[in-house]
Amino acid sequence: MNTHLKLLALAAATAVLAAGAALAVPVQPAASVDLPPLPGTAFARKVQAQQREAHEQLSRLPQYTPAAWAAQDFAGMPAQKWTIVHQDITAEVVAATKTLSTTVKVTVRANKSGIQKLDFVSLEISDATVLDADGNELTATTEAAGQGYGMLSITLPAPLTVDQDQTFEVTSKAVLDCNGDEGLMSCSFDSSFKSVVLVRYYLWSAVSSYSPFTSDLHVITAADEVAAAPGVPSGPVKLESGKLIWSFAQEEITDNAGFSIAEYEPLVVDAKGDLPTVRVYAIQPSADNAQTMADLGQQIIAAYGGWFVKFPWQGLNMIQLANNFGGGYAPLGAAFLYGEVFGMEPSDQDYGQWQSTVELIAHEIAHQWWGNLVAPLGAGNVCLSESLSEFASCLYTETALDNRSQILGDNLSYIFTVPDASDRPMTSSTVYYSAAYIQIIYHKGAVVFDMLRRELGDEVMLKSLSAYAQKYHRDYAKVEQLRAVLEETSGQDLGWFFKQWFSGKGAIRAHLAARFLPQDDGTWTVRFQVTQKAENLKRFQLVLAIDLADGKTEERVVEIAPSATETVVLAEVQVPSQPVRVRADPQRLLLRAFTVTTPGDVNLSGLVDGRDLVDMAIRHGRGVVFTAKNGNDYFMPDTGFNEIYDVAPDNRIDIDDVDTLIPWAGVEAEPF
Amino acid sequence: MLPIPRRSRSALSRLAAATIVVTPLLWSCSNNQTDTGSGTETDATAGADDGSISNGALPAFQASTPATGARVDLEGGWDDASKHVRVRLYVAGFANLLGLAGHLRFDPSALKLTALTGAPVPLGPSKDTLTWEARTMAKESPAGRVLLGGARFRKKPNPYVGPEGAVVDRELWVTLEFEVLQPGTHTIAFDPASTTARNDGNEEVSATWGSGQIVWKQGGVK
Ligand SMILES: [Zn+2]
Repeated sequence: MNTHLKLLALAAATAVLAAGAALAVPVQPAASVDLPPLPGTAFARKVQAQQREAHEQLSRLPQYTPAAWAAQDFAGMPAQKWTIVHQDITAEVVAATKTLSTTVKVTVRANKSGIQKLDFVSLEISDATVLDADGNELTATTEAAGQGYGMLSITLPAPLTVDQDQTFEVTSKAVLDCNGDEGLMSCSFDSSFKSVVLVRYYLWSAVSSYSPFTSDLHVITAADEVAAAPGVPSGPVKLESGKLIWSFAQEEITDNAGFSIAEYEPLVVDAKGDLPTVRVYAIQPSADNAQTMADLGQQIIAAYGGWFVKFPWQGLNMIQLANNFGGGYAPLGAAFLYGEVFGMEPSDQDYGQWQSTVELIAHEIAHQWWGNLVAPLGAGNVCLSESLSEFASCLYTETALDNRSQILGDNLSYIFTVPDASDRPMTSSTVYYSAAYIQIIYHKGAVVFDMLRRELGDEVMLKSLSAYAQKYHRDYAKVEQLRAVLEETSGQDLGWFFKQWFSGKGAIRAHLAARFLPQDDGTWTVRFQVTQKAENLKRFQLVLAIDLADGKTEERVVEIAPSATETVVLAEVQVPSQPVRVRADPQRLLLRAFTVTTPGDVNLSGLVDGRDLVDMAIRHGRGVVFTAKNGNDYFMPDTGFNEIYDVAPDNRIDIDDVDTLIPWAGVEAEPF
Repeated sequence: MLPIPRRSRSALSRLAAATIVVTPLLWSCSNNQTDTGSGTETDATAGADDGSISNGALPAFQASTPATGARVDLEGGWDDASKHVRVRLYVAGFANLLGLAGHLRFDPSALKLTALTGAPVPLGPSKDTLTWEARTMAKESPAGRVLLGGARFRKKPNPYVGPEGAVVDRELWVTLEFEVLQPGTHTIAFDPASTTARNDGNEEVSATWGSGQIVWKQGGVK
């Protein structure tokens, strides 16, 4: 806090004390810090991984699509005139020139008559040759489409026959650009790994999500290399040249793809009971740790299988990528993850390494259900993939690692690092383009699903997600469809919740006050007041932990359900003896920033006294802003931070807060 | 609820839990001490007669605090310079004290608080003011109730180091001066429900909260 503000705060407090009345204006919370995460921390690694995953998402879902379609879901879109049924892809990479050579046999089917021109989107390709099933060359043109994408147009000699499959063979080359920090991230190379994300052709007429197909992928490698990809592997077959060809059958209809080549030493753990085959593709020295990764993968699959539905695919391939990939992504049946993750063991507790490894892998594996089994229908429903996967991961770490640090970090990240200008509703069709996309969809999204879990209870929440997976498996879904399933399973009207948290933006930002009132029978009443701004009224269940003078703690839950115009909500609870402190939302279950209405009454006793000072001493040093040795400020999701104690608002609890609090001694809550 | 067995809590997770859940207080406090007579400083300047409190015996102070254990003890007596009774509160005998607080009460119709000074407590024996500082709250609000608090703070705090309690041998906390308005025996004592002493683990530390009496035997006022 700067000195000027501090003086103002002190002056205000002094004026109040002189007047002998409490301040009418509560302390305003600190502004969002809008800072990058502290480098080197588990949280920074996680955010980086999420950013990389979001880039991969973009490379699989080309941004370069007709604007009107990218901006809304496809509920009202007419059926497509033709679709891709199957692709048989043979790919080879030349690392030195980062050239990808492919031969793709594309099988298409016309749904309408008169289709004579076929437009595809893929990488920006060159040297394209297109042959029909009889080997006749067809007229084809290629065109750059921006950001590394390209369009391929095939003109047929005669229109397609309706409902009859027709196969073309497209041979082409593409030069890969692995360096884009913005836009297409189609590959990742280092001295050990060559990996490519986008090798397929998609319908130009729709974003790739809407043209899924079955496929066979064949990857050509050198004799000492191994290829890894989603799907059921077979091979290798040795070519006359000495090269090897590795095949992966993808029986499921899906839009995702990618492969990687390295000196993998695959570990295959066979299917057992409800657990699928898990294949770990890692190179030395990580390959020695493959069993740890396989065990972790199976434990996560077992948990999700119990919570949602049984793992739906033939197997899961966990594939190591170059470390510089920095993240993970999860096409159907696979989890591609950056290199160092594969070397982690449960004993790696320094800097939260194992914790962040589990968080990342649990997130990627969750995509097998959320994103692959049930795919989000368009940009406004991306929370059905990313938010649900992050929520599932949080649920996993909460249960298996027995801590809530993941969900708490997500919570603090959204609350403290999203400036108003960057905030969007989770269901905004343009949320991807917010600078705070990760915080809104990954972090807030996980907390929103966790708050829903608290509303419904664990059992109903998991039962609902299971019902949703059963209803929409191998299909697209919209947020309203998930809501309908939740309402049906729970018997509750969740309209308010979805309106507030999915189609509305922001978080709970409330001023709190409490008064302790002795009753004739020796019990005490805690009268509690929640003040919100008219433009941001949120409904929520608030847990109050009420510490009593005898050392006991009483817990009460109050429903804060303001009407459309109610900025102040009162609640009263009874406790058996004299209270000394109220802790509001002590476990930070809510997506919230609280401040106290009575300045300095950080423990909500209704009176600023020495207990507030002692309570502040416990929190001293906590903060979500961290000044590193280089002098720069960074965001840090310190779960011990409680913004209520930040009375001289600067997002850290320091001596300025103490010195601001002390002059408020004796201030009592205004009667209410 | 969730059909996954929980692993045993790691040290890390305990730390995480500790940061968000305040440990329930273990309350132990004896405020029902009666007079032990120790540690008192009475009638230090007895015999002076300044006329302001008539011409009888001067008011005296008697403390009720044990001399050992974690405690807040009181001492005091007549101060000839100010012509008031001066009472000092000391914090003593703590092995790990991060902060303490309480409401000190007296009868405002009998005693008028004329001066109130806090000293930074707890600092610890090293008085290592490079690393530590302390803040004290001392305010009478309303008359007859003195809100007291003291806590220790790391000068260069960060989320990784956390608070650290002080070893307190005996440190002066607060000095109060009273004008005695009426003859009689006037108790100065902490409100039992208001006191707290906590260590750096946010645990309640058992302590004795001393009390005292200002005694003014009629003297010349009859
Ligand atoms: Zn994801």
